[in-house]
Amino acid sequence: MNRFVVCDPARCIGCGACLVTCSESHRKRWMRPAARLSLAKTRTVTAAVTCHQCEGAPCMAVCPEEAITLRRDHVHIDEELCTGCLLCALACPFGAVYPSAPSDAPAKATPYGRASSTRSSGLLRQKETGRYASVVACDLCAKVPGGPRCIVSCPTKALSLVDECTLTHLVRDRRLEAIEKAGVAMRGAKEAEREVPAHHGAASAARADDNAAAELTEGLDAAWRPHASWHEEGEGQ
Amino acid sequence: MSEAIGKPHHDFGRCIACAACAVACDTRAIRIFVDEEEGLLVWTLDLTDCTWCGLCAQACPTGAMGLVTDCDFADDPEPPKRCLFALRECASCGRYYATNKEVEYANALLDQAEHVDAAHARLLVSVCPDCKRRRDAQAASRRSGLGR
Repeated sequence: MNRFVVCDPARCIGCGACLVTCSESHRKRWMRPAARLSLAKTRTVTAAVTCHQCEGAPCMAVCPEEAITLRRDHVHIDEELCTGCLLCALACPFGAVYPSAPSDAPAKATPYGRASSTRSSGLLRQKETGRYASVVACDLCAKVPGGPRCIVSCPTKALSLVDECTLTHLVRDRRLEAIEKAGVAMRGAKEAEREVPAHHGAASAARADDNAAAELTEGLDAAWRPHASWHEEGEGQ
Repeated sequence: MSEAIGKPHHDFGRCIACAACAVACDTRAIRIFVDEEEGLLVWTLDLTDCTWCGLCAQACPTGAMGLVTDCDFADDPEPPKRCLFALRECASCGRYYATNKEVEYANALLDQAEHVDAAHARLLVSVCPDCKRRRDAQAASRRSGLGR
Protein backbone atom coordinates (compact mmCIF):
# COMPACT_ATOMS: atom_id res chain seq x y z
CA MET A 1 0.00 0.00 0.00
CA ASN A 2 1.14 3.51 -0.71
CA ARG A 3 1.78 6.03 2.01
CA PHE A 4 0.15 9.43 2.06
CA VAL A 5 -0.32 12.49 4.23
CA VAL A 6 -3.63 12.74 6.08
CA CYS A 7 -5.09 15.60 8.05
CA ASP A 8 -7.03 15.34 11.31
CA PRO A 9 -9.76 18.00 10.95
CA ALA A 10 -10.32 17.96 14.70
CA ARG A 11 -6.83 19.43 15.10
CA CYS A 12 -6.47 21.53 11.93
CA ILE A 13 -6.95 25.25 12.55
CA GLY A 14 -6.62 26.29 8.91
CA CYS A 15 -3.55 28.50 9.40
CA GLY A 16 -1.98 27.54 6.06
CA ALA A 17 1.52 26.92 7.41
CA CYS A 18 1.61 23.63 5.47
CA LEU A 19 0.83 25.42 2.18
CA VAL A 20 3.65 27.93 2.66
CA THR A 21 6.15 25.28 3.71
CA CYS A 22 5.18 23.04 0.79
CA SER A 23 5.62 25.68 -1.86
CA GLU A 24 8.82 26.98 -0.28
CA SER A 25 10.51 23.61 0.12
CA HIS A 26 9.78 22.77 -3.52
CA ARG A 27 11.03 26.16 -4.71
CA LYS A 28 14.31 25.61 -2.91
CA ARG A 29 14.75 22.37 -4.83
CA TRP A 30 14.06 23.87 -8.24
CA MET A 31 10.53 22.69 -8.61
CA ARG A 32 7.47 24.82 -9.18
CA PRO A 33 6.79 27.04 -6.21
CA ALA A 34 3.20 25.99 -5.64
CA ALA A 35 1.48 24.30 -2.74
CA ARG A 36 0.81 20.61 -3.36
CA LEU A 37 -2.00 20.55 -0.85
CA SER A 38 -4.84 22.95 -0.12
CA LEU A 39 -7.18 23.99 2.64
CA ALA A 40 -10.82 23.02 2.37
CA LYS A 41 -13.07 25.12 4.55
CA THR A 42 -16.75 24.56 5.10
CA ARG A 43 -18.98 25.83 7.87
CA THR A 44 -18.22 22.80 10.02
CA VAL A 45 -14.87 21.46 8.83
CA THR A 46 -11.45 22.94 8.21
CA ALA A 47 -8.89 20.54 6.85
CA ALA A 48 -5.85 20.37 4.61
CA VAL A 49 -6.61 18.03 1.73
CA THR A 50 -3.82 16.07 0.12
CA CYS A 51 -3.05 13.61 -2.62
CA HIS A 52 -3.98 10.04 -1.61
CA GLN A 53 -1.26 8.50 -3.79
CA CYS A 54 -3.82 6.12 -5.36
CA GLU A 55 -2.32 2.83 -6.46
CA GLY A 56 -4.21 2.83 -9.77
CA ALA A 57 -3.69 6.58 -10.09
CA PRO A 58 -6.53 8.01 -12.25
CA CYS A 59 -4.35 11.04 -13.05
CA MET A 60 -1.78 8.70 -14.55
CA ALA A 61 -4.45 6.86 -16.55
CA VAL A 62 -5.70 10.02 -18.28
CA CYS A 63 -2.37 11.80 -18.89
CA PRO A 64 -1.85 12.03 -22.67
CA GLU A 65 1.86 12.93 -22.38
CA GLU A 66 2.72 10.18 -19.90
CA ALA A 67 4.16 12.86 -17.68
CA ILE A 68 2.71 11.20 -14.58
CA THR A 69 4.38 8.05 -13.32
CA LEU A 70 4.13 5.98 -10.19
CA ARG A 71 7.48 5.98 -8.44
CA ARG A 72 8.20 3.55 -5.62
CA ASP A 73 5.75 5.12 -3.16
CA HIS A 74 4.52 8.33 -4.72
CA VAL A 75 3.02 9.87 -7.83
CA HIS A 76 5.68 11.71 -9.79
CA ILE A 77 4.84 14.48 -12.28
CA ASP A 78 7.44 15.41 -14.86
CA GLU A 79 7.03 19.17 -15.09
CA GLU A 80 8.91 19.32 -18.39
CA LEU A 81 6.64 16.86 -20.17
CA CYS A 82 3.38 18.28 -18.79
CA THR A 83 1.52 20.55 -21.24
CA GLY A 84 -1.13 21.73 -18.81
CA CYS A 85 -4.20 20.13 -20.39
CA LEU A 86 -5.61 19.64 -16.87
CA LEU A 87 -7.23 16.29 -17.66
CA CYS A 88 -5.58 14.95 -14.51
CA ALA A 89 -7.05 17.76 -12.43
CA LEU A 90 -10.45 16.80 -13.80
CA ALA A 91 -9.97 13.08 -13.17
CA CYS A 92 -8.46 13.24 -9.67
CA PRO A 93 -11.12 12.00 -7.21
CA PHE A 94 -9.76 14.25 -4.47
CA GLY A 95 -9.08 17.43 -6.42
CA ALA A 96 -5.44 17.15 -5.42
CA VAL A 97 -3.77 18.12 -8.71
CA TYR A 98 -3.04 21.82 -9.05
CA PRO A 99 -2.11 23.94 -12.09
CA SER A 100 1.01 25.91 -11.34
CA ALA A 101 3.43 28.38 -12.86
CA PRO A 102 6.50 30.35 -11.93
CA SER A 103 5.38 33.55 -10.26
CA ASP A 104 6.59 35.68 -13.21
CA ALA A 105 4.43 33.84 -15.78
CA PRO A 106 2.46 36.24 -17.98
CA ALA A 107 -1.29 36.10 -17.64
CA LYS A 108 -2.93 35.17 -20.93
CA ALA A 109 -6.07 37.08 -19.99
CA THR A 110 -6.96 39.50 -17.26
CA PRO A 111 -7.87 37.53 -14.17
CA TYR A 112 -11.57 37.72 -13.37
CA GLY A 113 -11.80 40.09 -16.32
CA ARG A 114 -14.56 39.58 -18.81
CA ALA A 115 -17.12 37.19 -17.60
CA SER A 116 -15.64 34.84 -15.03
CA SER A 117 -17.22 35.19 -11.68
CA THR A 118 -18.42 32.93 -8.94
CA ARG A 119 -20.44 30.99 -11.52
CA SER A 120 -17.28 29.28 -12.73
CA SER A 121 -15.15 27.14 -10.49
CA GLY A 122 -11.48 27.77 -9.87
CA LEU A 123 -10.30 25.36 -12.53
CA LEU A 124 -12.13 27.19 -15.32
CA ARG A 125 -10.92 30.58 -14.16
CA GLN A 126 -7.35 29.36 -14.17
CA LYS A 127 -7.87 28.09 -17.70
CA GLU A 128 -9.07 31.48 -18.80
CA THR A 129 -6.11 33.33 -17.35
CA GLY A 130 -3.67 30.68 -18.59
CA ARG A 131 -1.42 31.38 -15.63
CA TYR A 132 0.18 27.97 -15.46
CA ALA A 133 2.53 25.81 -17.44
CA SER A 134 2.21 22.45 -15.76
CA VAL A 135 0.43 20.72 -12.93
CA VAL A 136 1.82 19.72 -9.56
CA ALA A 137 0.77 17.13 -7.00
CA CYS A 138 2.10 15.89 -3.69
CA ASP A 139 5.33 13.88 -4.14
CA LEU A 140 5.75 13.26 -0.39
CA CYS A 141 8.79 15.59 -0.59
CA ALA A 142 10.76 12.85 -2.36
CA LYS A 143 13.78 15.12 -2.78
CA VAL A 144 13.81 16.25 0.83
CA PRO A 145 15.60 14.17 3.44
CA GLY A 146 13.36 13.68 6.45
CA GLY A 147 10.02 13.26 4.71
CA PRO A 148 7.13 15.63 3.99
CA ARG A 149 7.78 19.15 5.26
CA CYS A 150 4.08 19.93 5.85
CA ILE A 151 3.99 17.43 8.70
CA VAL A 152 6.94 19.11 10.41
CA SER A 153 5.52 22.58 9.89
CA CYS A 154 2.03 21.97 11.28
CA PRO A 155 1.72 23.84 14.60
CA THR A 156 -1.13 21.66 15.86
CA LYS A 157 0.26 18.30 14.66
CA ALA A 158 -2.82 17.76 12.52
CA LEU A 159 -0.94 16.19 9.62
CA SER A 160 0.54 12.72 9.70
CA LEU A 161 1.84 10.11 7.30
CA VAL A 162 -0.41 7.06 7.02
CA ASP A 163 0.88 3.69 5.87
CA GLU A 164 -0.28 0.11 6.22
CA CYS A 165 1.00 -0.29 9.80
CA THR A 166 -0.86 2.76 11.10
CA LEU A 167 -4.04 1.65 9.38
CA THR A 168 -3.85 -1.84 10.94
CA HIS A 169 -3.51 -0.30 14.38
CA LEU A 170 -6.43 2.02 13.73
CA VAL A 171 -8.67 -0.83 12.60
CA ARG A 172 -7.71 -2.82 15.69
CA ASP A 173 -8.54 0.06 18.03
CA ARG A 174 -11.91 0.58 16.38
CA ARG A 175 -12.78 -3.13 16.65
CA LEU A 176 -11.85 -3.32 20.33
CA GLU A 177 -13.96 -0.25 20.96
CA ALA A 178 -16.94 -1.75 19.15
CA ILE A 179 -16.63 -4.99 21.14
CA GLU A 180 -16.52 -3.05 24.37
CA LYS A 181 -19.61 -1.08 23.43
CA ALA A 182 -21.50 -4.22 22.40
CA GLY A 183 -20.53 -5.89 25.68
CA VAL A 184 -21.79 -2.95 27.75
CA ALA A 185 -25.07 -2.85 25.83
CA MET A 186 -25.67 -6.57 26.33
CA ARG A 187 -24.87 -6.44 30.03
CA GLY A 188 -27.37 -3.60 30.33
CA ALA A 189 -30.03 -5.65 28.57
CA LYS A 190 -29.37 -8.60 30.88
CA GLU A 191 -29.74 -6.50 34.00
CA ALA A 192 -32.99 -5.03 32.72
CA GLU A 193 -34.22 -8.57 32.16
CA ARG A 194 -33.49 -9.51 35.79
CA GLU A 195 -35.22 -6.45 37.22
CA VAL A 196 -38.44 -7.10 35.31
CA PRO A 197 -39.08 -10.86 35.51
CA ALA A 198 -40.76 -11.92 32.29
CA HIS A 199 -42.21 -15.28 31.27
CA HIS A 200 -39.91 -18.26 30.66
CA GLY A 201 -39.56 -18.07 26.92
CA ALA A 202 -38.22 -14.52 26.89
CA ALA A 203 -35.82 -15.25 29.74
CA SER A 204 -34.30 -18.26 28.03
CA ALA A 205 -34.03 -16.32 24.79
CA ALA A 206 -32.19 -13.59 26.67
CA ARG A 207 -29.85 -16.18 28.16
CA ALA A 208 -29.15 -17.59 24.71
CA ASP A 209 -28.39 -14.07 23.45
CA ASP A 210 -26.06 -13.56 26.37
CA ASN A 211 -24.18 -16.77 25.62
CA ALA A 212 -23.88 -15.80 21.99
CA ALA A 213 -22.49 -12.42 22.99
CA ALA A 214 -19.95 -14.03 25.30
CA GLU A 215 -18.85 -16.37 22.52
CA LEU A 216 -18.53 -13.51 20.10
CA THR A 217 -16.40 -11.51 22.49
CA GLU A 218 -14.20 -14.51 23.25
CA GLY A 219 -13.82 -15.34 19.60
CA LEU A 220 -12.74 -11.82 18.72
CA ASP A 221 -10.42 -11.73 21.71
CA ALA A 222 -8.82 -14.96 20.55
CA ALA A 223 -8.40 -13.50 17.10
CA TRP A 224 -6.33 -10.70 18.55
CA ARG A 225 -4.46 -12.78 21.11
CA PRO A 226 -1.44 -13.57 18.86
CA HIS A 227 -0.53 -9.92 19.29
CA ALA A 228 -0.33 -10.09 23.06
CA SER A 229 1.27 -6.68 23.48
CA TRP A 230 -1.47 -5.03 21.41
CA HIS A 231 -4.12 -6.63 23.57
CA GLU A 232 -2.64 -5.22 26.74
CA GLU A 233 -2.42 -1.83 25.13
CA GLY A 234 -6.12 -2.03 24.25
CA GLU A 235 -7.00 -2.99 27.80
CA GLY A 236 -5.01 -0.10 29.17
CA GLN A 237 -6.95 2.51 27.22
CA MET B 1 11.05 32.63 -30.59
CA SER B 2 11.23 29.33 -32.39
CA GLU B 3 11.30 29.24 -36.21
CA ALA B 4 8.20 28.88 -38.37
CA ILE B 5 7.17 25.23 -38.63
CA GLY B 6 3.69 25.31 -40.08
CA LYS B 7 0.32 27.00 -40.06
CA PRO B 8 -1.89 25.70 -37.26
CA HIS B 9 -5.01 23.88 -38.36
CA HIS B 10 -7.78 23.28 -35.85
CA ASP B 11 -10.07 20.25 -35.95
CA PHE B 12 -13.22 21.06 -33.97
CA GLY B 13 -14.33 17.44 -33.85
CA ARG B 14 -11.31 16.28 -31.90
CA CYS B 15 -10.82 19.40 -29.76
CA ILE B 16 -11.95 19.08 -26.15
CA ALA B 17 -11.14 22.71 -25.22
CA CYS B 18 -8.63 21.69 -22.56
CA ALA B 19 -6.78 25.00 -23.11
CA ALA B 20 -3.34 23.38 -23.43
CA CYS B 21 -2.81 25.23 -26.75
CA ALA B 22 -3.84 28.56 -25.22
CA VAL B 23 -1.35 27.98 -22.41
CA ALA B 24 1.40 27.02 -24.86
CA CYS B 25 0.78 29.96 -27.23
CA ASP B 26 3.29 32.72 -26.50
CA THR B 27 1.76 35.33 -28.79
CA ARG B 28 -1.80 34.86 -27.56
CA ALA B 29 -3.04 33.91 -31.02
CA ILE B 30 -5.10 31.20 -29.34
CA ARG B 31 -7.28 32.44 -26.53
CA ILE B 32 -9.97 31.13 -24.26
CA PHE B 33 -12.94 33.05 -22.91
CA VAL B 34 -15.77 31.96 -20.70
CA ASP B 35 -19.27 33.17 -21.52
CA GLU B 36 -21.20 32.51 -18.36
CA GLU B 37 -24.46 33.99 -19.63
CA GLU B 38 -24.70 31.33 -22.32
CA GLY B 39 -22.73 28.64 -20.48
CA LEU B 40 -20.15 28.49 -23.24
CA LEU B 41 -16.40 28.34 -23.52
CA VAL B 42 -15.16 30.35 -26.48
CA TRP B 43 -11.96 29.18 -28.17
CA THR B 44 -10.46 31.67 -30.65
CA LEU B 45 -7.59 31.42 -33.11
CA ASP B 46 -6.36 34.61 -34.74
CA LEU B 47 -3.80 33.80 -37.44
CA THR B 48 -2.63 37.43 -37.69
CA ASP B 49 -0.97 36.96 -34.27
CA CYS B 50 0.39 33.52 -35.08
CA THR B 51 4.12 32.97 -35.66
CA TRP B 52 3.74 29.36 -36.86
CA CYS B 53 5.89 28.16 -33.98
CA GLY B 54 4.01 24.85 -33.70
CA LEU B 55 3.87 24.82 -29.88
CA CYS B 56 0.08 24.39 -29.92
CA ALA B 57 0.32 21.22 -31.98
CA GLN B 58 2.95 19.83 -29.61
CA ALA B 59 0.80 20.55 -26.58
CA CYS B 60 -2.49 19.20 -27.95
CA PRO B 61 -3.43 15.95 -26.17
CA THR B 62 -6.01 14.80 -28.74
CA GLY B 63 -4.25 15.70 -31.99
CA ALA B 64 -6.85 18.34 -32.83
CA MET B 65 -4.18 20.93 -33.65
CA GLY B 66 -2.34 20.03 -36.81
CA LEU B 67 0.27 21.93 -38.81
CA VAL B 68 -0.16 22.73 -42.50
CA THR B 69 3.19 23.13 -44.26
CA ASP B 70 2.20 23.55 -47.92
CA CYS B 71 1.38 27.26 -47.70
CA ASP B 72 3.38 30.45 -47.35
CA PHE B 73 3.74 32.60 -44.26
CA ALA B 74 3.32 35.74 -46.39
CA ASP B 75 -0.09 34.63 -47.73
CA ASP B 76 -3.16 36.51 -46.56
CA PRO B 77 -4.13 35.00 -43.21
CA GLU B 78 -7.47 33.31 -42.83
CA PRO B 79 -10.12 35.15 -40.84
CA PRO B 80 -10.07 34.51 -37.08
CA LYS B 81 -11.72 31.29 -36.03
CA ARG B 82 -14.16 31.01 -33.14
CA CYS B 83 -15.35 27.76 -31.64
CA LEU B 84 -18.01 27.37 -28.97
CA PHE B 85 -18.06 24.58 -26.40
CA ALA B 86 -20.88 23.92 -23.95
CA LEU B 87 -19.79 24.05 -20.32
CA ARG B 88 -20.60 21.42 -17.71
CA GLU B 89 -22.09 22.40 -14.36
CA CYS B 90 -20.76 20.76 -11.22
CA ALA B 91 -23.24 18.18 -9.89
CA SER B 92 -22.60 19.40 -6.37
CA CYS B 93 -22.25 23.20 -6.44
CA GLY B 94 -23.73 24.00 -9.87
CA ARG B 95 -20.80 26.11 -11.08
CA TYR B 96 -19.19 25.66 -14.48
CA TYR B 97 -15.93 23.75 -14.24
CA ALA B 98 -15.05 22.24 -17.65
CA THR B 99 -16.49 21.68 -21.09
CA ASN B 100 -18.82 18.76 -21.78
CA LYS B 101 -16.40 17.35 -24.31
CA GLU B 102 -13.50 17.38 -21.89
CA VAL B 103 -15.53 15.61 -19.21
CA GLU B 104 -16.63 12.96 -21.69
CA TYR B 105 -13.05 12.51 -22.88
CA ALA B 106 -11.85 12.02 -19.29
CA ASN B 107 -14.70 9.55 -18.72
CA ALA B 108 -13.72 7.52 -21.78
CA LEU B 109 -10.09 7.36 -20.63
CA LEU B 110 -11.08 6.32 -17.11
CA ASP B 111 -13.38 3.60 -18.49
CA GLN B 112 -10.38 2.05 -20.20
CA ALA B 113 -8.40 1.94 -16.96
CA GLU B 114 -9.37 -1.13 -14.95
CA HIS B 115 -8.20 -0.32 -11.45
CA VAL B 116 -10.70 0.30 -8.63
CA ASP B 117 -9.29 3.79 -8.11
CA ALA B 118 -10.15 4.66 -11.71
CA ALA B 119 -13.74 3.53 -11.12
CA HIS B 120 -13.83 5.77 -8.04
CA ALA B 121 -12.54 8.68 -10.07
CA ARG B 122 -15.09 7.91 -12.80
CA LEU B 123 -17.91 8.37 -10.27
CA LEU B 124 -16.64 11.79 -9.28
CA VAL B 125 -15.86 13.33 -12.68
CA SER B 126 -19.21 15.15 -12.63
CA VAL B 127 -18.08 17.07 -9.53
CA CYS B 128 -15.71 20.05 -9.73
CA PRO B 129 -12.27 19.83 -8.02
CA ASP B 130 -13.25 22.41 -5.42
CA CYS B 131 -16.19 20.29 -4.31
CA LYS B 132 -14.04 17.15 -4.33
CA ARG B 133 -11.67 18.82 -1.89
CA ARG B 134 -14.56 19.77 0.34
CA ARG B 135 -15.87 16.21 0.21
CA ASP B 136 -12.48 14.85 1.12
CA ALA B 137 -12.30 17.18 4.13
CA GLN B 138 -15.76 16.10 5.27
CA ALA B 139 -14.84 12.44 4.88
CA ALA B 140 -11.72 13.04 6.97
CA SER B 141 -13.81 14.71 9.65
CA ARG B 142 -16.21 11.73 9.75
CA ARG B 143 -13.25 9.37 10.10
CA SER B 144 -11.69 11.29 12.95
CA GLY B 145 -15.12 11.79 14.55
CA LEU B 146 -15.52 8.03 14.98
CA GLY B 147 -12.55 7.75 17.31
CA ARG B 148 -13.84 10.34 19.77
